[in-house]
Amino acid sequence: MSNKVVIQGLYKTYEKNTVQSADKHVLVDLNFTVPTRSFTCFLGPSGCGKSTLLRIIAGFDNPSRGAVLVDGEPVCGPNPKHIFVFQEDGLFPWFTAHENIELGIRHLKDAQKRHELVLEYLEMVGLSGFGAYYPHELSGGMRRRAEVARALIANPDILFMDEPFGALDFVTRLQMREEMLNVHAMFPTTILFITHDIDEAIQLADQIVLFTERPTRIKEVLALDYPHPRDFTKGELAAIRRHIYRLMGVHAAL
Amino acid sequence: MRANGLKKWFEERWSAFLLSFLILVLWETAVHVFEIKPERFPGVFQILKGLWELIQDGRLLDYVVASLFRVTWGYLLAVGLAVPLGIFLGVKPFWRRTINPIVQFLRPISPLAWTPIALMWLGIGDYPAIFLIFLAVFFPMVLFTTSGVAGINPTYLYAASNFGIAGHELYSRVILQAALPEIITGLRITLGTAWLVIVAAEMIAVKSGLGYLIVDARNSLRMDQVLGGMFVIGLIGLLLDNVVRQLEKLPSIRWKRLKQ
Amino acid sequence: MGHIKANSPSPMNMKKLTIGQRIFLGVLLWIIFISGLHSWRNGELFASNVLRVGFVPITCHLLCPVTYELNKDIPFKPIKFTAWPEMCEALKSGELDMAFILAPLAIMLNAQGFPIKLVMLGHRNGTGLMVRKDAENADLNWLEHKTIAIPIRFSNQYLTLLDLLDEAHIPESSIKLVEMPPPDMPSSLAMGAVDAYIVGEPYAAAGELNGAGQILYLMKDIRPGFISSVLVVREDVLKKRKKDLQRLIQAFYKNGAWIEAHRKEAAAIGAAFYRLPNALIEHVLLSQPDRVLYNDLLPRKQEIEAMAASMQKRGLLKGNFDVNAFLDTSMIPEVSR
Repeated sequence: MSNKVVIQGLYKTYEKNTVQSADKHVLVDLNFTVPTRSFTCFLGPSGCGKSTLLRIIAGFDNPSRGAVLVDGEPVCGPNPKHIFVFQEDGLFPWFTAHENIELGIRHLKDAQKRHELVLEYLEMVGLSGFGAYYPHELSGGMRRRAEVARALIANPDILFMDEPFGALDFVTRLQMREEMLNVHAMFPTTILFITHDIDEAIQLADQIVLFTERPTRIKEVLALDYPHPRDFTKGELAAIRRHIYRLMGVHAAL
Repeated sequence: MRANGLKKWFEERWSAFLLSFLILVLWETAVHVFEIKPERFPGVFQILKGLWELIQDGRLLDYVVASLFRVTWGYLLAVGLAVPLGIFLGVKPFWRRTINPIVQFLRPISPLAWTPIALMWLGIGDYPAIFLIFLAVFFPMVLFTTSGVAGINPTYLYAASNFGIAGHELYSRVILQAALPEIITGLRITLGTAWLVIVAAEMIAVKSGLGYLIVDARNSLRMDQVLGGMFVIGLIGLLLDNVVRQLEKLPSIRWKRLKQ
Repeated sequence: MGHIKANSPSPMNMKKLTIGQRIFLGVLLWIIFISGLHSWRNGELFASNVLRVGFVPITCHLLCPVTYELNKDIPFKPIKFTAWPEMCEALKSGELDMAFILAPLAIMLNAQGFPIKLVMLGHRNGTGLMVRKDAENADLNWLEHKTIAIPIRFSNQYLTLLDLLDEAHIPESSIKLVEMPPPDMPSSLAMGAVDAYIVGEPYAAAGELNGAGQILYLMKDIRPGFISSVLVVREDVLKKRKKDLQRLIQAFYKNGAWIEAHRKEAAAIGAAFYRLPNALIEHVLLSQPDRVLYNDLLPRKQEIEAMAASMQKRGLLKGNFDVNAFLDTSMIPEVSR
């Protein structure tokens, strides 16, 4: 399987300004690959630059040094085939859910076809009938789902997700995890997913990239070739879980 | 469904109506009890009679139309120029830094201070009044729009670029929309200002309009028509404000208020 | 995944307008509506060529409404003003062809180089010095240390007041002068905000009738022939439209005699036109025979020169003033002296 994304020698540094005396190194010497169609999780402590890295890969920001290659080509800006799902406020609040999702296929000329496709995706994420609602009229979970629908309808080959379930309550988060697995099964996309929830990463990922605190390096890259649904309370998965907890500095794994 | 809406409307307002009615009753009673002469301070019925006179000889309609006409043109011209300029300044920091201080300087100068210049350049009549309204609305609207655009959540812009939204579409479907709540707040506030200014401007520069009515009635020693005019002014101001408030209630605008 | 039925958006219809488009359309319709309405109710649909005459609603300008009413065959457009500076602006900018204006203001405009000619007077007398009702045995000396309202310093009311004070040896510094719009004077006197005021009719009478004040002097008694307002014409209008002007001015002049013979009717015409109470204007015209006089409207050179000299004395006029270049009484039917 080829690599969808290749990161080589990536550095991200913020230049020193008058207040600070030294340059701020956020990302230091990152090297890893993301296999095509894999579900890769970025795991690490808060503020360690996972978002920054994801944004660089998505084309919103530039690395200070190093190469970011997608499909063998360097990234030179945002790409409608590489959709980013934001932590918050990703949906445009002045559009209805329907209108937001339609953005993913707005170059489609046939209005009727667009309309039907949007309805299809609304149903797929369980928001049938809520198309005419505005984001502020929807619950947090529903907003996430609408944003995912918007992303998927564009048929992206990469899906970036920046802690998409962070603002949701516990039960909803668990439901969304299940739905992400369905999405990954149904759609041929490569998913890059940021989370700080270790259990979530273990549940979802084919590959976990563990990051240190700032200045951020890669602590370890773990491959998880296990079938779904995963039970991390026993067996190898439990061992991997304990391993990760220890690496992250938590010694009493629950 | 309609009746339900009407019922709700009334429910929200009955106490205000009641209070207003009581005040009027008190007023009329006081005028009689203290035997105040109508030239000094007219009672409610006196005022209504005075207004009726104005309605009958058509002057009230003429004046209301004149004032609304001037506000319409001054306001819409100002908004039509201020919003694009504000968007431009909101998007280009260099120009914002350059032009903003000038706008900030001109804004606090009361439009009425411009009256002598307006009269000198534009004579008497509709044009100087429209000019003064324009000034009163233009500068604040530029500031509101600029602020609305400059304060757009960057996430929206990232998402827009992600989906390849650029150029004209970016401005009309993303930037303008994101700034719209603040722009509409500005629209509401400046409309109120415009109505204030027109009345004052008409006391000085023109021969018709509600401001002129006040001055003319005073010169004709008709206090009842002065107060009647004030009442009409207040009523129309209230109506104008409500019209813009309806805009604020749209769901595609309301989101921002709920966020806060 | 839960399904709760709610409203679905209808299929995108090409003809359906968005809210934004509807608002735009609504605004457009409103503009057309209000502009049309304004044009209909307030507009002058046909650019007319009639002479435009400025006036203020005072008895000194009574010739204006009376002529407007009586001489329908001589069309002209009276334009009402409420403040003197505005009228000056309108005269200068060409919005007025002629104006009834305070004599000292006319002199000042002329001295500033603005080309106007003085052709006629408004009336004679017609000004009163009012004091508070509670002033006992008031005379000129009572005015010392008091607050006195005047309409504007460029008025014969002001000049005459200063002359009166000089005669009584009251220093100008001992009184406080306020410029005030005439309609506000009676109520100010009633409230005690001022102790006295000197102004043209009907605002002197207004103070008398509303119980606010009492008459100290009427000009008819101490300065008979007192001039307040004059009629001025722009020189360019004079050159271009001499014939029309002549007709109008002669009508004005003749109506002076008419007013004298029909005072009651004249009062009714004036009150209706000015929208002032009939009783007030009647009182001014009828209470005393010479309280206002419309029979000698010819300005004499000496009178105007004296007024200019008085202005110079009080620092209101700088530079030279040539009364011969200013006065033009050629259009008045009976020209004497």
